[in-house]
Amino acid sequence: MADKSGSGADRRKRFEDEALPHLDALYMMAIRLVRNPDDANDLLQETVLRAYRFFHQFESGTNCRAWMLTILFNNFRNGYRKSSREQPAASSDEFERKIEGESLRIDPAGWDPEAILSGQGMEGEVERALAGLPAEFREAILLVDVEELSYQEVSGVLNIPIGTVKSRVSRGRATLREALAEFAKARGIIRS
Amino acid sequence: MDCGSYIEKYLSAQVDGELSAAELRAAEEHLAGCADCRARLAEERAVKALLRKRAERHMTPPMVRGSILAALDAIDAKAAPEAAERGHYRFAGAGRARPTGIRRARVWMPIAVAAAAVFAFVMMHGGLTPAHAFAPFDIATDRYAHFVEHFEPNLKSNQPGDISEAYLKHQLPGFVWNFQPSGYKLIGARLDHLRDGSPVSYTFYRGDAGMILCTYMKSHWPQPPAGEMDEVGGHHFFRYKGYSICLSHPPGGFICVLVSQRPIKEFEQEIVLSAP
Repeated sequence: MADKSGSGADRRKRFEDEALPHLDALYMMAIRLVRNPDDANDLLQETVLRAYRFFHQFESGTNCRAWMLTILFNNFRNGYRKSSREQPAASSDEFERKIEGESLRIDPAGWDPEAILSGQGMEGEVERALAGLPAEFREAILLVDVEELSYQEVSGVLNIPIGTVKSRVSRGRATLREALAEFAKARGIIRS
Repeated sequence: MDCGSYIEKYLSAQVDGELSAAELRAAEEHLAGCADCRARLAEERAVKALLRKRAERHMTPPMVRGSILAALDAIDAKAAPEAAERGHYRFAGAGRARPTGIRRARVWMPIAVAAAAVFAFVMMHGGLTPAHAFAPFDIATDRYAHFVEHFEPNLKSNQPGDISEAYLKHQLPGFVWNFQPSGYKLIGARLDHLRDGSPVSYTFYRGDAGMILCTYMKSHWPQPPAGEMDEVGGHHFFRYKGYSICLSHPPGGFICVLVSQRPIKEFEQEIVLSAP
């Protein structure tokens, strides 16, 4: 029963090898979830730091991307949705300040999520169709089709039953298919 | 099977490779006689492929990546002095440096050694199936509030050895904290089941300063609430619903949640004094 947290340097190296390769995936998901550079940035950073703090809980051999996406979605829901309805005992502002204190300030001028998501011609069609989906369908579709997680893994990330994952994917994709119909017809994907 | 139920129940899952062997046979049977659904299947695959293409990722901007790495450095720097304190469940024969100036107590030692051995067995054979859809902190604080009013142990003994044995028998970690150095007396213990049927243990302590409830349960990844969080000796301290919480993580997919009404810094001190 080895101590999974290991020494500091050891933990850092394992984290860089196993977790940080998923940074770009988390970054894209954060942008899609919040659509605001500062918030996406905070969400990403909070997610990575939390993953690092709790890295001993990650079970080697399981899907690290799914594990980190779980943290990202939890943070997203806790930090961005709940906080407006119910005030936690300690404010999330404090946490943000702490995180900020630990890090360099980020220059938000260098990147723009909308430009990243919609700037590239026909890819913009797909993004617009995705953005038009109800959030719960969009999340399921992104996790299955873009992140290539299994239904089982998505069930863990979103904390919903597998049957619900299945129906959200099915209905989400059907909606998407219709939204993309014109575009798809033009490209010969769907019969007219 | 008609086209409606194929499209509703099978189509997406087939494209995602999520059908069982029997379902797949049923789906193929329908497809063999239905050109429309075969075409629809091809379309579904095309839509998925279109989305998959979106996975061509944009790089995280270097500034963002840089700030994250700097934040990790900051955590490492902060953690370094505590490194010797890490791994608090590794008692047997682990000769670790102790902080000077603080008198540190141990878990009842022979129990700890036995617990570690038996627990290793439980871990190897008990399987890891954490699948809770609950908030462990809500359970712990709710029980705390209840037990402060009325605590009724359901284990006969209040001896740490007996309690440890009972916990192990129920596939829970057999660690029993000793808070005597911080002035708390072990009052008694309860074994219960959560709504999903998984076992949970409650060990209750009382002292002049108040009560401490120690809860062990099977859970993965309890998300601490947003807010200030301290990390001392591998334990995570934070406030939740007006309580001070200490979260730690014995191996095997369990969590240990300690609840107290003491101010967080005092609570940290008490835990550090008593940590095994």
